[in-house]
Amino acid sequence: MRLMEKIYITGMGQVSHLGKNVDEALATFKDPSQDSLLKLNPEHLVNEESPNVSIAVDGLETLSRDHKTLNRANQLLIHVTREAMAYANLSEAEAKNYRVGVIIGTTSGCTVADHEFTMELHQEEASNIDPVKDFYFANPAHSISHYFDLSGPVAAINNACTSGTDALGLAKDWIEADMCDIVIAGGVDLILKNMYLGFRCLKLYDGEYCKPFSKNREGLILGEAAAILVVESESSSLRRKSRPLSIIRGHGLGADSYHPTTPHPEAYGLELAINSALKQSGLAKEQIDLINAHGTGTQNNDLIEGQFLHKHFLNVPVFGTKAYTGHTLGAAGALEAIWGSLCFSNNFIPKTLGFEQVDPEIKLIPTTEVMPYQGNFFLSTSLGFGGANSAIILERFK
Amino acid sequence: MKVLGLSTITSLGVGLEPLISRLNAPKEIIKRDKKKYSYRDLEIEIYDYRTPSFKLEGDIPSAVARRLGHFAKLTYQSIHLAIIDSGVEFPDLNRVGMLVGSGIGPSSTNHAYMKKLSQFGAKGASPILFSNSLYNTATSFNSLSRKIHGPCTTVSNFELSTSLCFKTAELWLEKDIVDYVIVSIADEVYNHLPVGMCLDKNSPENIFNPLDNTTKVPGEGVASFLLSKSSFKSKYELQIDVAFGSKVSSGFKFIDKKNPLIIDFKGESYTQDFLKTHGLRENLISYGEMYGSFPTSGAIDLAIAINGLSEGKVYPSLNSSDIGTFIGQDLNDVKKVNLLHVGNRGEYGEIQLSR
Repeated sequence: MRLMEKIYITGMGQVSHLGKNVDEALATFKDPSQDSLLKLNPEHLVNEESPNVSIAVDGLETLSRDHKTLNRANQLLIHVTREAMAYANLSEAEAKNYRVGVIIGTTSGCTVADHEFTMELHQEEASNIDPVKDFYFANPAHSISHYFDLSGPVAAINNACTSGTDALGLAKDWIEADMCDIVIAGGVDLILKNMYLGFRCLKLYDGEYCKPFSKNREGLILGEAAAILVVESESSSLRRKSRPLSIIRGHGLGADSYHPTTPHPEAYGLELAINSALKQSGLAKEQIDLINAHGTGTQNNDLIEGQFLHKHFLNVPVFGTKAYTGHTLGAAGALEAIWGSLCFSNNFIPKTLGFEQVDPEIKLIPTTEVMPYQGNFFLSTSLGFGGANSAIILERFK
Repeated sequence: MKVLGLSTITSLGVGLEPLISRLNAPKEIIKRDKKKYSYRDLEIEIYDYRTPSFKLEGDIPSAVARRLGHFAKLTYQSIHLAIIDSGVEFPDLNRVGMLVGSGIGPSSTNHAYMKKLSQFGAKGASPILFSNSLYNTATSFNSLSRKIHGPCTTVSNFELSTSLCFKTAELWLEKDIVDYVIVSIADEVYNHLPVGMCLDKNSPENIFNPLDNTTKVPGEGVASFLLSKSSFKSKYELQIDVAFGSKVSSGFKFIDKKNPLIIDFKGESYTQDFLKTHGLRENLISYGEMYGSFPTSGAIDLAIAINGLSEGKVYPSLNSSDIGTFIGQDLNDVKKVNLLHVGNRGEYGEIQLSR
């Protein structure tokens, strides 16, 4: 039996290179400059060490309730969950009165994220495997649920770059299936050295900064981030008197089945995902009036996604944000849902920082300045390694 | 939701048959090889619970098969066999979805990738090893090789992976975004566990007894299922109900103490503690002796349970202890059986199968 209620986003929290909380991110969006770019020294492409893209955040919690050391991914998640719960006016005490689920999308957050230990292990210099034993207590979704003493269902989604978007889609499904009243949903990723070197050896990295859809783009830049949204049913929101920020209308998934690391040349899986999201939303394509693109800055992603969006959403403003934050992998989709909610609440569309030259093969021109926005239906697209595609549609709450 | 086909791969072999043979002859001694592990100047021997080698069936070019990681191969082969078991040919690949669940993911490929980095630094970064070390490598390969275009996701929920995947499949089927969902739950042995045993000088004497924490040995395995809506015909005519949570706050949704209860003990004390806390002491069953200890072994239990209960049968427990009463002989004409999967902080997944 499906709950026939609206599904709201009532809280949000984030840490990224845009800012250490949602307000800082918003301020950067409203007044962007070249300093807002996540910019690297081009020497990183030949260095032995990976560039440091960690964000300095004060006051991170370091221990779980049962005194186990929290890894950095979980530290960041707790931090942004607190911000999101505050936004949603949901105290830790009140959360215990509800069925609260947790869904986290991540890539690195489900690994033994201790590079130094891993090198020692493989060089036969480790004297114990404590980081591995800790890893069995470090699943991000379980960790957040345990930390806040929640009892609802938990899920960690490990679907590469679509994970954050998928987390929100699954949150909607859980609430509609009456499995819980509220879901803490989002994503996190740290840019560990092995991850950075992996993308670099695939020749997917730009030397300096991300240039979404730009003719002179050379690749992506990875960035660290954590993002959480509080998702709840309309009845829960009314009961708690929380203020909806936006409505999750629909979510869709589609697989390219084309290549392990390259999107389908005709965006087959992306089209399936968008059509599925539209069908779930009960909306027509023409009703979409704002799009946040995946826009990683890689040759293939931007070519295929850009051509698709230009063809099927010709007059719809498109913006990309990865020049500000870097590609945050599992956190990306969750961050981008926060941006959509901010577009509604602040009536603006961010500038696509990093876009410099129109690519005649793509033709798409994303936003080149901050623009006003009064529309109602926002689409966010995510394309992942392995051919995963995910799309989510948010509606303005009036 | 219904299971149309299933298959497993464990240390006993490819397919469910070796497991059923063992369950039909529980007193038989299984000969296992002992494998030597060494780390630094320490050496131990552990009974080997790795899966046997197998050749990938289906139309996979050898160049592709050579580059695949063990994790992707396990899921591919068992999915292939589950689809054969179902007899289904998919009419519309846009309406087939896939869920892969795991605890520690493609760990041997990750190990190989990290080893190259440790030996050669940045120059050791291999594109193939890196791509195959990501958790969604199995989903990616299986959707690619079968041209599946529906929703495909990977989840990493340790012991709750089975219940999460089944519940998600149920939600997709109810939303009518798919007609079929392939679910594959897998874990492979990762060298860090034998390394840890070397460092702890822990070399178990006995064959693995999941109820005895001192005999714990790392294992690996995969169980794959083809799921569909309840209206489809199947040789496994069972209703499947699933629930899971991070802690039991208001009782179990499906577990009934009158029903046989299959539990993946895995040689972990937290599972036994959970049973004591929740007063679950009767009609207990453990099959894990056959496959060793790994986070998602409960999926293998589920495959066995579905296979048996579709004919009204429940196989007896292979081990027992004084924590409760264990079922010691075949049960016939059974209507319901429950399964319980427990995580290290009291997370739980419960599954009920009903005829």
